[in-house]
Amino acid sequence: MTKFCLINLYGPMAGYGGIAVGEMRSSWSRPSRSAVLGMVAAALGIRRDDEEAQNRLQAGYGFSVMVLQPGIMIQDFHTIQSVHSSSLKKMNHVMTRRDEMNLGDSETILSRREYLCDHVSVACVWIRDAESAQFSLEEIAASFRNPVFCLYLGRKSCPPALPVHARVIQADSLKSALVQHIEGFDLLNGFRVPDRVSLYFEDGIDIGFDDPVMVMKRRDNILSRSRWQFSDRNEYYARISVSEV
Amino acid sequence: MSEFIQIHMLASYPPSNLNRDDLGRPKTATVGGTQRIRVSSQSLKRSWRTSEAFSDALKGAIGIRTRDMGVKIKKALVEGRLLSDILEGKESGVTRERIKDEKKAHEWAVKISSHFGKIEGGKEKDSDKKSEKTDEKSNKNPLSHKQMVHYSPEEIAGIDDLLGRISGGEKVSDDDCIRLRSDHKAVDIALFGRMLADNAAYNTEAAVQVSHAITVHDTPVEDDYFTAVDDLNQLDDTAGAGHIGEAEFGAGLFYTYICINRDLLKENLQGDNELSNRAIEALIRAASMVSPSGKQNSFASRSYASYLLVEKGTEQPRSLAAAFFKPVSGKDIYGDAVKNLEGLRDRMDNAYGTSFKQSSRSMNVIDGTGSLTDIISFVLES
Repeated sequence: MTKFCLINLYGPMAGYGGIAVGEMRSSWSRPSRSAVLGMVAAALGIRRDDEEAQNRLQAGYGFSVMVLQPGIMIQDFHTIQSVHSSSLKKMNHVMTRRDEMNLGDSETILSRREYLCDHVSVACVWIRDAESAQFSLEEIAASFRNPVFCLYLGRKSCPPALPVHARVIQADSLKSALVQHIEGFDLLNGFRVPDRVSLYFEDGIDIGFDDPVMVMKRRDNILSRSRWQFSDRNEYYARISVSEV
Repeated sequence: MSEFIQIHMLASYPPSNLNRDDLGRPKTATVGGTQRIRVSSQSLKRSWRTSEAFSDALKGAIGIRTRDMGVKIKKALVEGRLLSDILEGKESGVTRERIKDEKKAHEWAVKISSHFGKIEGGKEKDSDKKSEKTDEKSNKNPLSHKQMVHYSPEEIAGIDDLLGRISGGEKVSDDDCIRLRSDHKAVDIALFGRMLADNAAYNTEAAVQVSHAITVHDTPVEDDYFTAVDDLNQLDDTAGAGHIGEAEFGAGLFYTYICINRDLLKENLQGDNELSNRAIEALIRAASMVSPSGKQNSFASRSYASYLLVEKGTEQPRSLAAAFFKPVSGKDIYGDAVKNLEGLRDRMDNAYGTSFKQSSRSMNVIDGTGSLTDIISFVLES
């Protein structure tokens, strides 16, 4: 038997950033490991520059995500207006955004950001290395009820629109934990869980069904939050039926 | 565990184009499978933090809005009088050592006032006799600000104090000038954060989370086909419009969600509880009264929030956007939106065992219940 901690992730908009270079800021079609562990860190109050605690979080916990509703990707045209850095240096009075805008010689940076709309998923973490894992799953679930920092779905402008409702479930496989969790799943708006769902998971856990369909490389393994570096990991994909156990 | 202040807001906008994409269309989002018009989080934050409502609320109601502070500072130094007396137009006597060297006084005035806003600059007019009158009134005075600047009573007192030290011959450093405004700086950054790629030491995690505003109902983006007439066109062989074009717009009732992490805000402000409370008040006032300025000249779509629900507590914050997952339809969009919002809040409290309702206040302008003052005093009482 293994313990799993499950959280519901829904918001009208989310942004699970992939590799971002230059003006294109794409999003994954599903929550990333770094986004979910980031939420765990936010709930517990672990800061980005606390390298040791972040590393233990990264090493200690396994991650899986089940997509209940894929949603739609939209592209946002985003402009950032700022004052030219050379004039910023010369001006002592530029202390607020209002000051900056009143300078007049602003420059604009453009970017395109993808947002995932209408996406509903369930993320799941478990302890994969008991030595690194600083917090029990029960402690994590409790911290989600009274978090230290605001939670968000990948981007700070994307707050969850449902309590994440963290639960710890004991089960003999990942699938059975997920099935138990979504039993009586209620989005409070008549949302129906589909019979077959997409499941993404990683090595080292009893999945409770036959082999996965495929394996992908995904760069969302946290190397360093303070330097904002991530490394590749293998993510397995399967379609599973959740209507029967 | 932290204390969170959650603000749920409904604001209705007439036809407008507040926040547009690269093609000039209003931004949209798909929610519940239907199209909604959207105002992005960054657009909202920008309009609030650059608004006068925001800076005024932070500075307190009374202050002086002027372009000519530099001129007055110089006058105070040269005449050896108190700056506050000069600003109030009092006939007062000399209270300090006079700075006889006008050039020096001018330099000090430049140094101090340029910390508050860009000044015109340039050479000072050489003949004081000739420009005696224009010295204080002319827009071209090198000591005038390029834009109006609001000086708070504290800032004026701070400058006065500094002037006293200057005329007393004390050494005054750049840091002393910068300190005149350090409170203000802290609030802006403490609320909305800062990220400098060059220097992580200056990074501040924002204490406020702002969602994108979305309409609560299915909203089309409409086209306005317009023509501009050439007034000199006499309907001869070149009859027709001088210009034709298309402008896209939309109208709707928007839901916005704001979450303030009070503990983080206080931490960002070095534990200053009073300043943190003022920051919260300024944010609530700006958020409910300031609209993004996009295309105001064509649409004049300025709007105040019609409904505000504020919740205070340590439970996990959540937006109530799910209330509009199913688009509001029917004749009474506003009434239904409020009903759905409060209904979802109650049902969530039941389903998840939370108690947001017990610790909340609301203001409904259409029904005429509640007020911003009530809400702010509820938020600030501990």
